[in-house]
Amino acid sequence: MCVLCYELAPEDHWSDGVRPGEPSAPPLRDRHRRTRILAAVLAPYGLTVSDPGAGRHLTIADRKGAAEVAAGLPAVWEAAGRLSSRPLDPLDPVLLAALAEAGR
Amino acid sequence: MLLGAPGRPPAAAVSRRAVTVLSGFLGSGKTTLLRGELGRAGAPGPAVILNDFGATMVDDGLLLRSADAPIVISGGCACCTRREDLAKALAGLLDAEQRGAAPRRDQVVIETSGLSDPGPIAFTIANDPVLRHHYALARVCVTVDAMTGIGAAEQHEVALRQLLAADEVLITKADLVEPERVEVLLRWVHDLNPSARVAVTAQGDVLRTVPAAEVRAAGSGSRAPGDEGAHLRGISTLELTTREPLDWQAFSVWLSLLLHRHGPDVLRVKGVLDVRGTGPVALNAVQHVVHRPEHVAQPMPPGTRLVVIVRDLDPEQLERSFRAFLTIG
Repeated sequence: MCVLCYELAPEDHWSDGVRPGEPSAPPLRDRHRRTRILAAVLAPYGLTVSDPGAGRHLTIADRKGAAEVAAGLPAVWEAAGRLSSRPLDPLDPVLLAALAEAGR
Repeated sequence: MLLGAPGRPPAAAVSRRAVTVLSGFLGSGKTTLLRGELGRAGAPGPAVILNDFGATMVDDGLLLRSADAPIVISGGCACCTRREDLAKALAGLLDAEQRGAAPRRDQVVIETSGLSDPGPIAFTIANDPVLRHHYALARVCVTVDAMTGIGAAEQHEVALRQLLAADEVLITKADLVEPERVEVLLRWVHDLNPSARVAVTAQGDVLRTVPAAEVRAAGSGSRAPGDEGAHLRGISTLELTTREPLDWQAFSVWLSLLLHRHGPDVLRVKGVLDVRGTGPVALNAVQHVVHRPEHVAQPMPPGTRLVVIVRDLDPEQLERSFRAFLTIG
C-alpha cells in the first residue's frame, strides 16, 4: 500500500513490462497513448475513459453517468463489462468496423 | 537439452534460477529422459522436483542419487490455479540455500505428473510475489511417445494442452517405430505448434534436433493441424506477422482484451515482436498466463512474428482484429 495515497499496490501486469520509446521519453506519454487507445475501443460500447492522473487509476463511465475506477488493464475490462450492455469482444464486428472507420 | 546449452542461460534467467518444466502424457518417457540428462549434467546438478499422482512414488526411486535426492510433491491437479505444493517446494529450495544446507543451483527441473497441465505451474512461477524474483521459467519441454503420441493428444485434452504449451517437444522411443512414422510425427508436431523446437530421442539420448518451423515469409496465415494424420477439431494455428514495427500499447490492449474475453480458447501465444522505439521483445503466454515480456539483446530480423494457437475461434477474424487494433491512432 502506498503510504501517501493509501492505494493498494496492484499486481504487476505483463503489459507494463515494456517501455516503448526513447529512454528520455516521459512515461506519461505512454499512459496518454494507452488511454487514447482504450477510448477508441470503449466508444462503440457507449463508454468513455478518463485519466484523473492519480496512481494507476482510470475512470470508466457510461452515458448515464455511472462510473467505475479501475487500475490496470484487467480491471478496466472488468469495469467496462459491468457498465456495458454488450460484452466487450475484440472479435466483435461492430468494434472492428468502428476501429476501421476511425483509422481512415 | 532439458537444461539448455552449457554456459548460455536463457535471457529470462540470467540472474534468476532457470526452471525447466518437463511435461508429457502418462508413460511418454519423461523419467527416462531426465535420468539421461542428470547423468550428463556436471556438478552441481539441477535441483529436481517430482510430481506424481500415486501415493507410492516410483520415479523418485529411479532418479535417486546419493547427493541429489529429488523433492517429491504428490497429488496435483489440472485446474488452472496456483500450485501451493510447488510454491512450497521452490521456497524450500531457497530456504535451504540461505541456511547453507544446500548449494545454490542455477537450474531447477520440475517433472510434472503425466496428467498435469503446465499452465498452473507457469502461473505459479510467474505470479508468486517472492518466487518470481528468484526463479524464471526457462522452457517447457514436453515428451511425445512416438508410438502413441498422436492418439493421446486426440483422446486426452490434457495431452493436447501439454503439447501446445511446449517450447521444446521431445519425441521419445523413436527406436521403437519405423523412421517414416517419426517423420509423420515431426510434421504433425510442427503443424500443431510451429513455435516449438523438436528433438528426436531414444532411450534418453538425443538422435537429432529440428528447429522451430519457419514462419511464413510473406504475410500471415493460419492452418488446422493434422494434415498428416490426426485431426484435432477446433484447433487453429495462426501466424501473425508485420513488416513494420508495431505499437506496444495497441498490441497490449488487444491481447489483454482477447485473453479477458476468450482466455480459455487461446491456448498459446509465442513470438518476437518488433516494438516501435524499443526493438525486439520476446512474448510467451501459456493459456491465459502471460510471462513478463523480455527484451531480446541479440540482433533479430525486422518485423513481428507471433504464433497464436486457438480453439473454436475464427483465425481470419482474429487476424482482422489484430490488424484493426494496430491501426488505432
